[in-house]
Amino acid sequence: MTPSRTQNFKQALGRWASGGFIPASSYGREWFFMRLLMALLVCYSLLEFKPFGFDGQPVPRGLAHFFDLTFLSHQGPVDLSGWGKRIEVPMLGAIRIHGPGWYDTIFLSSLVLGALYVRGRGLLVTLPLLALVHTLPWTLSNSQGFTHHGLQLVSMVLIVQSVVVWWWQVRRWRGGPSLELPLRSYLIYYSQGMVAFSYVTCAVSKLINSKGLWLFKSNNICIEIIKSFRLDYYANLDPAVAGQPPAALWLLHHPMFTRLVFDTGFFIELLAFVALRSRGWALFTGLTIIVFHRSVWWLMRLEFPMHEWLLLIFLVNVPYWLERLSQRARGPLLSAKASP
Amino acid sequence: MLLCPHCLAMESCKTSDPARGVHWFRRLMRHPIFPLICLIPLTQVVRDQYPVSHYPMYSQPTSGDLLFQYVTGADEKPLPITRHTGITPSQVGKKYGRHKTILIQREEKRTGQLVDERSELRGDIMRAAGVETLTFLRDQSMKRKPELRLTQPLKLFEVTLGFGGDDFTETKRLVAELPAAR
Repeated sequence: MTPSRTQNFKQALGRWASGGFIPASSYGREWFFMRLLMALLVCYSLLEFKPFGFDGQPVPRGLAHFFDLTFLSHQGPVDLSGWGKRIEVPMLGAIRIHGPGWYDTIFLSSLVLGALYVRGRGLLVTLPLLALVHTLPWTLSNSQGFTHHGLQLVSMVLIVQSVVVWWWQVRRWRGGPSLELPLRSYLIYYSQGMVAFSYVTCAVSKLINSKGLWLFKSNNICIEIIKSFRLDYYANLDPAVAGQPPAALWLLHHPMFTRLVFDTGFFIELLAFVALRSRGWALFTGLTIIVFHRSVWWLMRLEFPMHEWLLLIFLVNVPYWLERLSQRARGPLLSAKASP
Repeated sequence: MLLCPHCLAMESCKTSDPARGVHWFRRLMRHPIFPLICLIPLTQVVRDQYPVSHYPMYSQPTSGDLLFQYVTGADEKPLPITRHTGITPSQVGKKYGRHKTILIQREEKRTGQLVDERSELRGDIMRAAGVETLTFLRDQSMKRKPELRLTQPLKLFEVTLGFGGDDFTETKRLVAELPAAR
């Protein structure tokens, strides 16, 4: 009896899945660039004054349930006011190194810890501290009664990396057998996984909160475009976004096309875990989600720059492809076991 | 001793030998992807507790009305609230909504009855939540440059955005007022 198409498909899917989704060999240089870019991202996201201006936590979130984080709005142990108010940085503009409350302390800590993290030394201590330094101010900010979803993923990637280095160390302390791949391969794998699975989580939330009807109701999101434009306008009264966005009306009049557009986005999120299948799939998924983010920005003026950077660093991962190309030019690829 | 790259197990590894009949869930538990899969139910339980999030944005597309809020001066002309406070209009709306929900829940717990949508009490609750939000915004603006400080009387407006056949409809109403700062 010949197998049915369904059986063939299941078998092919099984073969495809079993050929990946595990940590892969990695280059020392790609992990270095990942650390460098990640440290810059952490420091950049801590350039914001806002979290240090909140002297209450009316709706506690995360650690704020257990600790009073309003100390961040008081003068911290480091005061950089004597070091000048701003530094002009090409591409980034003016960076202000002095700010309210613990701003100076947190910013300086992120610089020092970020430098240690880039060097790759003392990660057992450096990584959890860097994660804490990034988490504290944004926990206070999110404890004001409004949630901002733009920075969670940066904190989560640092936390996941901390867990991986501690898991690795505990295995060594227990005298566990050595693993086939170096620590950095696991750090890269779980960082990629954290980024990819945050999109899967988002798709699962859509299914749960809409009681499974999201794909059918997604045409209603066209009204959110109007809301998004209005909110953008009332932020700074920018006349460029004052009117009616033409795309919203067009999508209102074409509900089937609207469903097609938004449902495509839903499946991009739901299937983001395929990034863990292999390096090629990571590149494909990373680029697809970045295009998805850019199209959401064009349509709704809604952006998540930190997410896009994380996608670029961990999924698109240009240094890996450059290293691979240069290795290929020099000679045959190393085997998974022997590669750096 | 080297480990199986599929499940990190040693001699007990059975993933590559389906004939031994290992249950699929046990195989999944040993797979490196398992901790990441666990994040999905975990985030649904923990929800929005920074840095954990279940990312609920746009998860309930509705054909009903949407609400958003904006801030004006006494002349009812909108103020560029982010420039004045660093707080975005989206955050203004979330803060106002959160305070409103807390006050409604507190009232319902006190009286043991639901607060009616059109009751005078609900109007009072909305006003109280609006004043709390405007006070917060003024406090934030006072930490900024003198020319950005919101010392003037403030008003919070709520816009109801809805589907109106071939177009969208927008109706606004005044929620709360805050007198000038002394």
